[in-house]
Amino acid sequence: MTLRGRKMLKWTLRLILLLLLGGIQSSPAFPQIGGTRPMLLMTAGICAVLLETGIEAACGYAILAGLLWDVVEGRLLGFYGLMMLLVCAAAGWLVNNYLRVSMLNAVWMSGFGSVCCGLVCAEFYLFIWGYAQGTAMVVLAEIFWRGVYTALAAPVIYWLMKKIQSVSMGTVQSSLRLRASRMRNERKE
Amino acid sequence: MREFFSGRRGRLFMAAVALLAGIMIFSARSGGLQTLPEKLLSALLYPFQLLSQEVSDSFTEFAGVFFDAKENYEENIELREEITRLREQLVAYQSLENENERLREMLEIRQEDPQLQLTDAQVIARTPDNFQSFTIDRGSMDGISLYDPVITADGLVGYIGELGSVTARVVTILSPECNVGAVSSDTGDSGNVTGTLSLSKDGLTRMELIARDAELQPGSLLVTAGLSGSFPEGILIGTVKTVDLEENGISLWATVEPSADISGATAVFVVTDYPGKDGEETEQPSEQQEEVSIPAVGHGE
Repeated sequence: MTLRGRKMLKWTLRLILLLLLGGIQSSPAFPQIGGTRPMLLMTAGICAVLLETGIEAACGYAILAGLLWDVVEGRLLGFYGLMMLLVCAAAGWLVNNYLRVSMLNAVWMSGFGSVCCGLVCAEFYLFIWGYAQGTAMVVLAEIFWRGVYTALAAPVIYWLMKKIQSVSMGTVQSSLRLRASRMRNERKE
Repeated sequence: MREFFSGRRGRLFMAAVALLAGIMIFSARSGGLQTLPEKLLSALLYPFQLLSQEVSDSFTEFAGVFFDAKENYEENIELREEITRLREQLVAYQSLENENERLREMLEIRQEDPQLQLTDAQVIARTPDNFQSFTIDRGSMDGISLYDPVITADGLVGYIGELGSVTARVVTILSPECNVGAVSSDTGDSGNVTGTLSLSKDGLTRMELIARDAELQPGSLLVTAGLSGSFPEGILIGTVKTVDLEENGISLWATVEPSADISGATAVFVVTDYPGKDGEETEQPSEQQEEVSIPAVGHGE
């Protein structure tokens, strides 16, 4: 299979995974913790940014995840898309400059990103309209537990994304070596 | 930072932000209706949501066996207790229904003959003899007397052969112990109904001492004559099945099919009082032979 074919296979599998995660996230029988569900689509976007060498494609994938998230949660289309763009761009910048690509980083980034998105969402949908008067702590507790739940679900999604990467593009090590060599070349330049 | 935004990636980033902001404004102006991108994404997501729901429902059903085990166990106990209570109620209702039916039968009998005093009784035991004798749940404490007739809505069953305080044994008309003066309702021919071992096995009884020139025919209905006072008058006994000449050639005899379901009776009525009842309770039923003259000239009782 050619490189182009492998890339198409990779993104097709990632797209199918994204749609499955969207279905699972919105499933009514999905087990809840503290009355919250994990943000599986966010985790998929962050994992794509971590594992993908091309940040542009990964951010595009993250934007798509955000738009699906908008449809699943019934938010204004583009709201979570914008959030995902900002969060995943930040995650990509961190990984490119300071952090390693690892499951642990994927876990805490997913949890932290979930909390950030939850706070922004609560601000624009609840606080500025005065809907959360007297229940701010409840909302914040929900955001916290959602972050915890998302972090707990992150390892599975990270593993799936790595598996897709290895199935379609060979081992992840080769893509990581490719990323490392690109970074070295950029620094040289 | 400046280099970032002046570079290719920075420009792409700003373009993406602007695009998303435009999408948000466009969606906000839709007034609640789904825009085309939303419709496309919803359509794309729909089959996966359906699949996810089916899988989660199946898993929930499977996992419920384990996670809900304690609740199911407690609910099981509650439901079992409720079933027990409902069964007890059902038994009580059935008992009430049976009692209702018996009382209706009693009312029917009383309507036919208002002068009969009846006491309802349940068959509580069957005597393992050849004559279908049985025990009822009434005794002397319930106002029952020895030799009181026992009937159902369908006809005569027998009489009280043994009397206890709370129970009594009924001797049926299939037994040789029982002798009932009978008369045909259509021909007026009379005779004595008593049981035999051979006929009792078929659930039949025998009428004897019938006048040789009697006009009794198969199908004739027999009722109690009521002349001796041992049985009330007009109680249906049964239907004549066959009429034959006795071996002595002097009289006729007939096989009688009782109208009452003697072998299947579960509830009966004891006639405690009736017009013409003999007040002497020491009278023995085996001697309770109706005074029937030998039909030399063929007249009955």
